[in-house]
Amino acid sequence: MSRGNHRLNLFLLLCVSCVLAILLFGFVVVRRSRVPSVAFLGVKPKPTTPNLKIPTGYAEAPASTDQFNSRPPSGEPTRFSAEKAIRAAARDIPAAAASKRKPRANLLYFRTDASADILGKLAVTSLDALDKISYSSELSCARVHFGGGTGVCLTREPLANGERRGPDGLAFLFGLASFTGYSAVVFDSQFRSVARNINLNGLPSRVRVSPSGRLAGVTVFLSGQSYAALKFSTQTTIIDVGSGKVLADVETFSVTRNGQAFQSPDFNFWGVTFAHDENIFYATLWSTDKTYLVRCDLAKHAAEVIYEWVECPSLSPDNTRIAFKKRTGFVGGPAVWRISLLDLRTLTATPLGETRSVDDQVEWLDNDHILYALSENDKRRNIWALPVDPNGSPRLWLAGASSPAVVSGTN
Amino acid sequence: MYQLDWVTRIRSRQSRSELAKTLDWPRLRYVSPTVWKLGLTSLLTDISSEMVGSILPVYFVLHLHFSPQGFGFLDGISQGATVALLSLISGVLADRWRRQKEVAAAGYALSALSRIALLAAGSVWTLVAGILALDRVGKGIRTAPRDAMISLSSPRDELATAFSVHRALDTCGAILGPLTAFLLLRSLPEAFNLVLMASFCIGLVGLGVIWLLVDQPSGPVGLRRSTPSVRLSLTLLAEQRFRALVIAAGALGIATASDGFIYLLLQSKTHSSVASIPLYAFLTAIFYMLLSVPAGRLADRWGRGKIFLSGYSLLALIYIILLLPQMGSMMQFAVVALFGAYYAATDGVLAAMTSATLGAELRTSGLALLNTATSLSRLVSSILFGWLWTSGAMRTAVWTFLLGLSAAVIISVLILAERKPE
Repeated sequence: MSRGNHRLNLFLLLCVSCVLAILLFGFVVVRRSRVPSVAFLGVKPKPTTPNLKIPTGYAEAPASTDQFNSRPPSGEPTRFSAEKAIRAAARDIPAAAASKRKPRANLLYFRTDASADILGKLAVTSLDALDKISYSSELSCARVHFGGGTGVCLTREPLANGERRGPDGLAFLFGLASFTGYSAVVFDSQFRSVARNINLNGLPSRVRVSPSGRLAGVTVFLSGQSYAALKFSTQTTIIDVGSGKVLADVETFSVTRNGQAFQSPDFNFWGVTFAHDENIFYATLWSTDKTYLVRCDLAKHAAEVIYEWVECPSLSPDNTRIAFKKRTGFVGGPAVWRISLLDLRTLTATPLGETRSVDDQVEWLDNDHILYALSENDKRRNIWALPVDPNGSPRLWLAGASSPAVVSGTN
Repeated sequence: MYQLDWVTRIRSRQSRSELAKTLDWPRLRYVSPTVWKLGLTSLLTDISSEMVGSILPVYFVLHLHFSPQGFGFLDGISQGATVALLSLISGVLADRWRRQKEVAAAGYALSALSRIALLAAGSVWTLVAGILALDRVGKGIRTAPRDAMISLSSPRDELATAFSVHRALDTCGAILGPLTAFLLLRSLPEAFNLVLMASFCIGLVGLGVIWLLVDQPSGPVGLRRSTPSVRLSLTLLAEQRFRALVIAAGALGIATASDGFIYLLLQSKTHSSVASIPLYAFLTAIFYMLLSVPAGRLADRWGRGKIFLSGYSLLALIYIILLLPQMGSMMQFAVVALFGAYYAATDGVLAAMTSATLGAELRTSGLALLNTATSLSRLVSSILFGWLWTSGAMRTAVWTFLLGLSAAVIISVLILAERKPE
């Protein structure tokens, strides 16, 4: 046999083995996504009262609704499983009671960050019984927030009211080329989609819903086009949740700094947080390697720089302080962020008691505690709670969860 | 002087008059099998790298939970310069050992390995950054030896055709890559690891094509005058024809706004959604792929210099369109079509022109030297354009680049005209 033939055979062998490798790997991926290999580890079941106190708003769900996941029991007895929690919740939900009241209870909406079968699923739990979790069977979210009876979930799955974006026309081409196909789904306390989906221009980054549930501030990353150009820019828009209309692109706001106009083509905005007065919101502005805290006026389309080195601001429930991440290190690698607190009355910032780098827009649990997600290892993230004083120490609050959104019964 | 001169003489006897015969499709048969195989390698490698490239932002942000602000504003300038210099060294070594194939294969191997490494690296940021740099090094290493192999296995008067065939296949891979990744993730969301794995396997098959199926083109016959070295390759600059090309390519490169800026300008001028920017890149690639071979044929028939400089005139036309006060949304298609045509008329043709001025002995070094010059000038251009845009207005930047490009084209016409037409 000639040398050329020998090499051709070798090449064919290589092709066949590569195809087999891809198929095998694909098979494993498919299997793993069906049968979860890691058990969901909610929080450790606390010895709470046997009767789950069902929050009012939550109890409005008819038990028959298929928005809640109600899969048949799994054959694995050892798992503290999603199924168990779901069945527990479903059992406890009174079937009647269909009022239109806003949720009064203390709820936490979040994204699950646990085993493969429920990874990314939108979930809700009661702040009084964190181990009772209900999952949406349909909605998977990259980020989620909730306010005034309305939630916004930034998701890749463009399902809305039964409509699916098929592989047709320009939309497909856009999705293909840009890889975005992301949208914001507006849902109510029952995980039902209640408005048209809002198309997103890029990768979901941050979302905040205003206290009334009327507005949402959404930040997406517009990615670079190629491997070589890994540059990102952000786009932050204020959206009217009901109509899906974009009310403002923060980049079009006229910005002032120390009373003077401040502008540059390299402006990037991200991380909105709404005040009680929904016309006012805060956000991060980036320009030439520096970040600023801006106070924005939606009606006037204006923004004013009020502080420096603030990223992902989050207003306290009493609107007097802002918790944020402050960049402290940048040594050729990833940035290091320290959770800090800015008092808006005195404009003084103090670092808080979390010493690990936190890359999240924090959420206020109440006026004295904040919540944020931290990666423990490669993928799983957990929600931690931290008292807002410099000596407070963080504690693990909810495992396998991220993007917390607190709904407090008092507001 | 050149071993392939006899082919030129034979071919030049054939008629080349009428426009109808200009494209002369059946002659694509004469494109060497080596070129087709190298094209196949590039196609597979591009599928592999664009697959990963298109999902990388999503993978980083949504899978590994990196915050782009943490790494997105890092500048790639020092990295770009390092890669440019490394590619020069690899070109010289390929000439010295007369092993273009092995050096190119090493570059392809490095890129294929970077995919599997990415899979293994998980979310350790420094590792991920290093692996991405490795991939770029691989690309820098392989380009010049591969182009040298294309030129060494093609007759001298068919060089542009050969390069255009290669570039068309290469671009086809760049189109298929994102498509493959998109379809994979569409059916299996979150299966990023599968995409990385598939990308590695496709890259491996590409490596297999060059390693197992491509033969090293026979080198120059006769004795070598001296051992190729970086210093010797720099003496190439003393040769008038090569120097003219390097100067022209460098000057034109500085006046060329990077793709990203063109797309951004186009998007903001037409007030289209920012989501259309990646679509521009996609459509440009399609036009590039379709127009590459016709442009290469025309270049071989009508003169490579003419087609090359017409390509840059198209770029100037794009600048002028971008300076228009009003732009309809249909203009977007016109601009991306022009941009694809610009690529088709310049990229492969420049490699062909350069190869034609270089002896086989220092072919790789010379190509690498030219690549280094163009990539450095592109870096300068990016910094310049970004600075102009940030400190002034968009129009200032485009005007400056239009004037600069016009000057560069005039200089190029003058210095390239000193060569006798091929």
